[in-house]
Amino acid sequence: MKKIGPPKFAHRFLRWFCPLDLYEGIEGDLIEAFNEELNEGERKARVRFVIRVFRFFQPGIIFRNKIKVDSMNTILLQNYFKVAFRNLWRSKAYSSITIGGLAIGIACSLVIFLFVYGEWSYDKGFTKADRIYRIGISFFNIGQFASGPEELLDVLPKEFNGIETATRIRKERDVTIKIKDLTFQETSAYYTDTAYFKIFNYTFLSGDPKKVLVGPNEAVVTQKLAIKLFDREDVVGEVIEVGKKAVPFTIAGVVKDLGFNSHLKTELWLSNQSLITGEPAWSSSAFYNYVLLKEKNTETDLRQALDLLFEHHVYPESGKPMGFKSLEDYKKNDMAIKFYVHKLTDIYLKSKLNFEISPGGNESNIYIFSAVSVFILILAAVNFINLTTARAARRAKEVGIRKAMGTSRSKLVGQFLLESITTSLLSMILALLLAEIFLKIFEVVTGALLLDTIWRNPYSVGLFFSFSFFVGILSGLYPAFYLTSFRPVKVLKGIVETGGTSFRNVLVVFQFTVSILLISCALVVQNQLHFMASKDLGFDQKNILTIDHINLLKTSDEAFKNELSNLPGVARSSFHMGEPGSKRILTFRTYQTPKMEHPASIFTYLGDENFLSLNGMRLVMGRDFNKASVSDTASVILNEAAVQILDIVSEPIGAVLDQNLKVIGVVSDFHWESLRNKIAPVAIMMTKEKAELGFKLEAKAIPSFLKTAEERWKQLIPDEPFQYHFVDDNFGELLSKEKVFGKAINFFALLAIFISCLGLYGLSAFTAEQRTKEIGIRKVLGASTLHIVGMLNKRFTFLVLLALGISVPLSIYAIEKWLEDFAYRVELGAGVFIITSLGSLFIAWIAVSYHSLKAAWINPSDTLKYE
Amino acid sequence: MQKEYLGEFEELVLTMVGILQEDAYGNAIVTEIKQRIGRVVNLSAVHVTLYRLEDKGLVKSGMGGATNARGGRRKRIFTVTNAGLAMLRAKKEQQMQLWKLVPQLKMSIS
Repeated sequence: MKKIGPPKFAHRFLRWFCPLDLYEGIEGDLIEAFNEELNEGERKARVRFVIRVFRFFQPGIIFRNKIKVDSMNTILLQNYFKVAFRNLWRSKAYSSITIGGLAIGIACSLVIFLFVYGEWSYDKGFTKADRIYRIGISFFNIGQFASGPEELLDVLPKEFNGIETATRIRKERDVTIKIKDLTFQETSAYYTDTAYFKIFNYTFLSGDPKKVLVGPNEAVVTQKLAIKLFDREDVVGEVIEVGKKAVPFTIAGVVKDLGFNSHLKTELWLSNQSLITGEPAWSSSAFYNYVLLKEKNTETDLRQALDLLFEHHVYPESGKPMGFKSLEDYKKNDMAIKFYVHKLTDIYLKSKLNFEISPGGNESNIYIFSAVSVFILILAAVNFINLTTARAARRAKEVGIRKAMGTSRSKLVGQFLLESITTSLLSMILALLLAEIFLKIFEVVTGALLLDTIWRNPYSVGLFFSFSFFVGILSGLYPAFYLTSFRPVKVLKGIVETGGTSFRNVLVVFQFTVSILLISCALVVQNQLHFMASKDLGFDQKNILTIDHINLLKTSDEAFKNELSNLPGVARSSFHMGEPGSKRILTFRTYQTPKMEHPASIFTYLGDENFLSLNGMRLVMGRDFNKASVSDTASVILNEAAVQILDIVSEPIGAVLDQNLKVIGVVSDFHWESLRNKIAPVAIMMTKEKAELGFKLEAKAIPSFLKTAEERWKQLIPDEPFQYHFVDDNFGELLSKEKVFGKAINFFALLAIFISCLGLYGLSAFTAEQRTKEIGIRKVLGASTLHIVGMLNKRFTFLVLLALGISVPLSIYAIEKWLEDFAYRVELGAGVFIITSLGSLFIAWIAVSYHSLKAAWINPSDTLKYE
Repeated sequence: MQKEYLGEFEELVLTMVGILQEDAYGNAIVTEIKQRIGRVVNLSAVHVTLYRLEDKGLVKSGMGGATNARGGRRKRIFTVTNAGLAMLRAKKEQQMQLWKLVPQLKMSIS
């Protein structure tokens, strides 16, 4: 008889998924049922068997084995948690040091993470971001501009077929918007065309993205601006009047606010037809030019196309007329036109051109901050490792008993990891609260607004929790393996080697190395900032007040000046155009001596005969302008750097430049840019044009002067705002970014030393406690308090000294690297390191001495009586 | 956890285990249910329920004898624990109490 049986594959399948301890019972039942059904037909029985097997394929069966094991574990897990919390509770001081330290570390890195992520994410949200490029320009050696000539986008698409579409943007600052009687103020508006919205994908709430800004006088607004202006979103068809001339624009579209950071910060876009001149000029930077490349084209293609364009258009149209003989000759010259290509996503952090459409971020700061935050996190984790291993003896008995009861090492490791994860999760919760506070501090200190709070984004909260999980595992790993390596027999006999001292020492040295490094860096940064703020700029920038837009006064400007000059406390006054430290007005002129092959472009101030004295600039040769001398309108005063460039060092006074300009004086070099830059050539020329009016005042006269000046201004031209600034504020602004950096570094240095000391404090407490009996005996034998404190502190002192030795060369390297960027900088002296050394030693001693003293003061009879 | 809760099917299976005594194993319970109340139930459902009852501590199990009809595989025999018995009794009492509250009038009318 043929043996009839159920299908083999069904058996195999069942064996595969069914837990072993259930398998026999289930299979037996199945076979029994199969046999009972055999008389109804073999085929049917087999089919039913298969169906039944598949019915067993359900969670209740498959996971039974695993869940059963887990359910056994929950009891142990509960025990682990209980033990973990008991331990935390038993030694509250240690727990708060570890949890608190870790929380500070995590919170700090959270904040920096938010900052770095925010900076890094700029413009990454545009879907075509990887194909968008901006083309900037430089010409006449007057600087590299983020914007470029209008003509570029007329010519480039014809010469290069890799461009999908391109757009020009003209940025307008401080725009007034009028709607009937209401006036609104916007910080910026972009005059652009419809291609803008093809390149940058905004979500349109209303209006057709393909048609907006096609016609003249059309506008697109963001949802936010629409609500600000009209209190509703469906504003298509409404008319707004923009600017002083109140040009009407019809709103053609409303876009959603960008959900990400972008360097294109505007709420309002306007048609730019009226601004397109059609003039073929290459040396201009009227528009920001953005191009979208076709998918198959790369940045290299674009650069090549620009090279060709340079050869075929720029050189013949711009180079030749300037007198350049050959393409190579022109190309090599500083005066030549150059194009600068930036990828959209690089613009914010990497592009450092003049007149960026919005101020960019600082890439190196991002790296510095990230590195610092990682270090601080490691410092906090080190505390954790140190304290846990140091107190291993306390847990030794527990480990011994657990091992004797048959717990495997892997389970013990699991237990300790669980403990460290618990601790790190607790610190995480604390860290989230702390991070909120840090965010506030960071905002106040740096002035930079950091996107949202942490809570608003559940995704990042999740991320941070997994992060703390990770930190927990990392910092728990060493203690876990160390603790579980105890031999139960020894431990239970009471022999515990606390071991691991050298490892802990290494960690302490590491902590202090990092802290000392940060402190010395912070000190040098402060020094440099102080140096920059107090350096003699080569002229007297104090108490010079400048009134802007003096040309608005038209013919009454002289009267205005004379009246104000007679006020008490006014020393000097001068009409001028441009002033040191300010980039409000930039004038460049080209100068050439017969000796020079090509003209040099030099930054030029225009001022009247009082300009030099107003600013306290020092004449080293020649004379100042003379109002009476007619020829002085064709005269120029140079600074020493300009004399060098123009190659007239031997006989500067009386040297004749092109256009019959005569050099009549030389002023000593003065700083007119940030101290990061070397003093560049400057020329000063007499002017009849009046753009700004400067007054040198006595400090106490400033308030009353301002009051009178404003009153007079309002009488003369009531419709225009009275605007003024101080020259020394110009330099303050240049410094403010550096100051933010200085404050941030200070903050981190403090944090680092605090965390390190926290760890040292904990460790010293432990050592003192461990040696109480020894101390007791020593005291009985006549050791003095001082002796004992010295004994206990010796080890830590040594460690800190070692850290000092390591960190000094490191800090010198880091500081030199940072100072490299400054043309004018402090010299690194031993002073910084002496202060840092003494300071950190002192702080470390304070941290350690509390417990040392406590241990030394204890009555020996208390510690020895239980022996 | 939900000690007091027992599902309808769980109660049925538990009762069957009680009825079958020494011979309570998966297949036997399926057959028993079919014979006694004419309800066709899945073998897998019975198994899962039995394991759940075991988790709740209402039954316990052990391996019993093998028979030829099972291809030499042993049976997993289930027995009702004291807790299971108490549970069944409590259920019965609960039901009786509730039954008493149902107006008996209708009975006489029908």
